[in-house]
Amino acid sequence: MRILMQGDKGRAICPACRRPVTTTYEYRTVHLERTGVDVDNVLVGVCDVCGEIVSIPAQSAPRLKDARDAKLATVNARIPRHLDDILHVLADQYGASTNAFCPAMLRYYLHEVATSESFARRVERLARQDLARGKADARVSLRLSDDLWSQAWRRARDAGIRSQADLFKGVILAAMEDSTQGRAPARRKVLEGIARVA
Amino acid sequence: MGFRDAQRRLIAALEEGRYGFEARDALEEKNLLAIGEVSAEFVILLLVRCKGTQYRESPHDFDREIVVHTFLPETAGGRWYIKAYFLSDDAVFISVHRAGR
Repeated sequence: MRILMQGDKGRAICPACRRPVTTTYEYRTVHLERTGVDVDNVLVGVCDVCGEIVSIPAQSAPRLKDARDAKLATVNARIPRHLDDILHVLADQYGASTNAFCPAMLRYYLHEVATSESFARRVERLARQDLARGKADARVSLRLSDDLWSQAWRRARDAGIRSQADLFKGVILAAMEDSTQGRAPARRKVLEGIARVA
Repeated sequence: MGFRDAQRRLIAALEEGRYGFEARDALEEKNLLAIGEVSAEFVILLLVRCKGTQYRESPHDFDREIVVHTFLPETAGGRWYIKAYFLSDDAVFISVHRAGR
């Protein structure tokens, strides 16, 4: 990645000036509306004409992510140990480490729940299967954005899922089905992509 | 420029770190790459997956000589919305998010 420095010049389209302008990179505070976080010391492109922030270089994205991560929710659920084994099997199948792969995979599947009513219903069906039963003697813990979790949990409840544990059980079994039964090749491709960058 | 050229140039910009973002409202909802929620590698995968029929171009609202490229790749999890343009050789991403469904 190209690293820019304070004082470097650039170009951008300024929405206030409504035209292309030259910019100067400066460290400023960026306000993130949804999470309500003010992120200090973010390198941004500032319009040389009006002084507004008009661009954000790639190198500033991790700083914004770190600030948002500080606002993450942590969700815990107890699941049968054999479902925890499935998480390890899936990570192994995709050639990734469990610790790096599974949180990203679970967040992806929760996003699927949050955005698809039919997928949420499938997860609800899976959570009622025999394979979802058993003594809940393992624990899954996941950090994710408040927004993603609230959307996923709302959709899950609408689909009839009664507990957070059932949501995680269904999601894990959906990931297993997708990965081992060729049920969703496109989703499997996404998991391969997650494994490559995990 | 056309689909293939736009796809190739955008992937090259991502691979080489020659990209940035428009500062915009609703950055957290509309540009997941800018806030680190998705990686450049993930966006490359989406672009590779995109078909020519899932691409369109249009002039930028504030400078009609600048071509805005919109990619709408489909994944199992739904459609994505990627919108970007080039200033010199650098890519400027306006949007990277899931399309509503």
